[in-house]
Amino acid sequence: MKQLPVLATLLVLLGGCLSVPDPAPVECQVTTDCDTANGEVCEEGVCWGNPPPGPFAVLITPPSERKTDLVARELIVDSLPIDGYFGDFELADPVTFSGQIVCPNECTTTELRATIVVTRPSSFVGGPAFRQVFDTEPRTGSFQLVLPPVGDGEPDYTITIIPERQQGETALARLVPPLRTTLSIKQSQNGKTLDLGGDAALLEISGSIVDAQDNPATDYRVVALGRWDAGSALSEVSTVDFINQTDNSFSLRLSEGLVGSIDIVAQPTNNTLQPTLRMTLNPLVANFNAPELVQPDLANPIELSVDVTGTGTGGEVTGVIGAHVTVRGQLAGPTEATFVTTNDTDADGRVTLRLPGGALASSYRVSIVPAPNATVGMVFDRPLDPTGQMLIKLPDRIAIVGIALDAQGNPLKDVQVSASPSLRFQWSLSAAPQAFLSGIPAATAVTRDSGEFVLHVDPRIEAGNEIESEDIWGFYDIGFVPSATTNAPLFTQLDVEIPRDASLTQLSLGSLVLPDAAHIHGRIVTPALETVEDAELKLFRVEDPNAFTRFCQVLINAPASCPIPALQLGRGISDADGVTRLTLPR
Amino acid sequence: MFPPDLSVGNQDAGVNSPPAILGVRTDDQELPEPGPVIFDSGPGTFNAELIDTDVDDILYVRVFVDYTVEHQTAPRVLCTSPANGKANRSVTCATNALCLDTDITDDPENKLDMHIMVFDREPLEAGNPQFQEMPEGGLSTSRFYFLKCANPPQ
Repeated sequence: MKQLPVLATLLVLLGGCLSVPDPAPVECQVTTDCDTANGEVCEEGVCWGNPPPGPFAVLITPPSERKTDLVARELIVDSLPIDGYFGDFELADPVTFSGQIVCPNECTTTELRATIVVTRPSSFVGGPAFRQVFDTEPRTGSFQLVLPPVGDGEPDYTITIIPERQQGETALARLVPPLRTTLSIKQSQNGKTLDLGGDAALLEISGSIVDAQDNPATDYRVVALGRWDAGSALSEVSTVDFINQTDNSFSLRLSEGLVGSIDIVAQPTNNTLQPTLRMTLNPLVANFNAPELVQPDLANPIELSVDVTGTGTGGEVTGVIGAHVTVRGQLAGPTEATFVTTNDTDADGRVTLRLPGGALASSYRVSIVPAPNATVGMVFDRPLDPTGQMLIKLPDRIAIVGIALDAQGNPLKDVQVSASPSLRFQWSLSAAPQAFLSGIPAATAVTRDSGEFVLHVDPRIEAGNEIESEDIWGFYDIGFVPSATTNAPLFTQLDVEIPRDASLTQLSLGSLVLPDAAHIHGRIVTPALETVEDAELKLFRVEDPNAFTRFCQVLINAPASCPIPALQLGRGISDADGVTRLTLPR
Repeated sequence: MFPPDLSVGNQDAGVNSPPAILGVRTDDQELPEPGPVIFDSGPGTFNAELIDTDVDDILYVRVFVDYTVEHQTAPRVLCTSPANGKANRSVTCATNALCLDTDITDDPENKLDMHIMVFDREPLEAGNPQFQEMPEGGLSTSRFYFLKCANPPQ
């Protein structure tokens, strides 16, 4: 874009005379004000065009009020037009898959109430997975799934039917386990049945739960956790049973198609102060020796008070309000016993927790996450003396400071800046601290007139817990989201390294220059080419899957599926004319 | 008899008008009220489309989970929409802390209460109600959803 000194002067003068909001920045009046050598054209006061090179992945989603007649669509675009006008992107017509769930004979007196979860991976590497949830009509078990059609070369849908899991003798989950299947739905199909009983005889596991004195235990919900795919997270894969004062035995029917071992998990009901019990089994041999889950010795409950303090911005030590305190105790063995309780600190920085006494007492450890944007940091997995009152002073965070500049070197004000642990940081950690770290709220700030920002982050996960033998120092991704009237694109400064110096209170990044902004526009339409208002268009960079694999190979704790999200380059919402405008980084 | 006071108020913009939430979107859909809506544990974002005719107001978005009068918990998500001279705004909020480990369950009936609130003055840390009280004159509105937390699809 060329400079427009006269126009700028006029705007400044007008701004001085009238108390009006800052107008949207005007880049051009005529195309010759733009970079015509690189194809830019002027419309609406904006220089459109000269986009970055492709390819791009495009995700278009309809507004919620159109969810029955339009569905989301993903597509790959090799390149964008040089003048920045991409024409029309079409949403898709949905296909419907309708029918009813059916159940073995013993279900006849039960409502066929179930949840149907439909998922499939994105069609591009790192794209957001598709997931939609539907409920059956409980009286008849009928359902109607409204979905994007499966196109050629696209993955099938994975369908998981989860029977109602409420407590009660007649709940469907007492009779049939979840069902997992795959469906390729290319066009609408009606009158289908999904048989929860299946054709094969389902494996059944029976066992019991006793306390430390071999007396029957009570008030537990029992279910098996397992996997349909080796790389997936554990989920419930059996019928549900409940033990009570009259019967401490359980019987579970397992879903078909499971891989690997299963965990029998007993969770306390009725808010009883008991640990969760877990036993890992090979399901094929489980009934040779009926599993017996054994509670640890549970003495009188402990009431624990924790005072959480930290250094305030004025240097004074005060109670920390709103910190999330988690106490966890765990005993290993054939039956693993775990007790977890959480609460938030009050206005004085105090939290009171009730814990089971007895054998678990020596295993309790505490973790604390302060409220978002606190200047004090977290505590992870610190040993806890549960016999009395405890005082924990949270460490100070390190301040990341910097100045956001546009491509011409001008300060960028009103840009939302956030810092979140990078994948390198997260995947350097083993499972427990990894999960803990990912649950710490991202630090956020808005740049001032000078472009300056300050973000407070935890510099490291300290050694001393039972999991990490040495400090793991942080790497953070610093994300920049400019406002709609700021002439700058989305930008992320990846993997900012925290120096290995515990005495450091501030890390200065200096000036961070955001990439030059390229503007593109076009319409979102229905397959019948009618414009759609309030639809969303997101543009992602198409990633090289080999680069992802190489990155994950370097980090020993990366998940097997290496779920690196694709980098989002721009986002826009369509106006009343269906027109969507995006700002991309060059 | 006293003449009427013809002076204008000393507030630049006169009466404050409330902010509102026009829509909330995740990667794959606009969230229908009241849900239930599913969020995964771990990294993620949502976008909130906001409106405030006081175009110079900064808007503060906070997400509260199972916040009650008896249990006034800190927000789990916090993000800020700077003033941009327009009534309509869009803000991106990180949801990595929205779902705790203890919230994840396969039980479809196990839903949490989620309030997405937008404030036109920065909420105070203390105050009554805690984490939601604003300096005098501040206004807020909210959207309610039933929240379900899940492990991310593999």
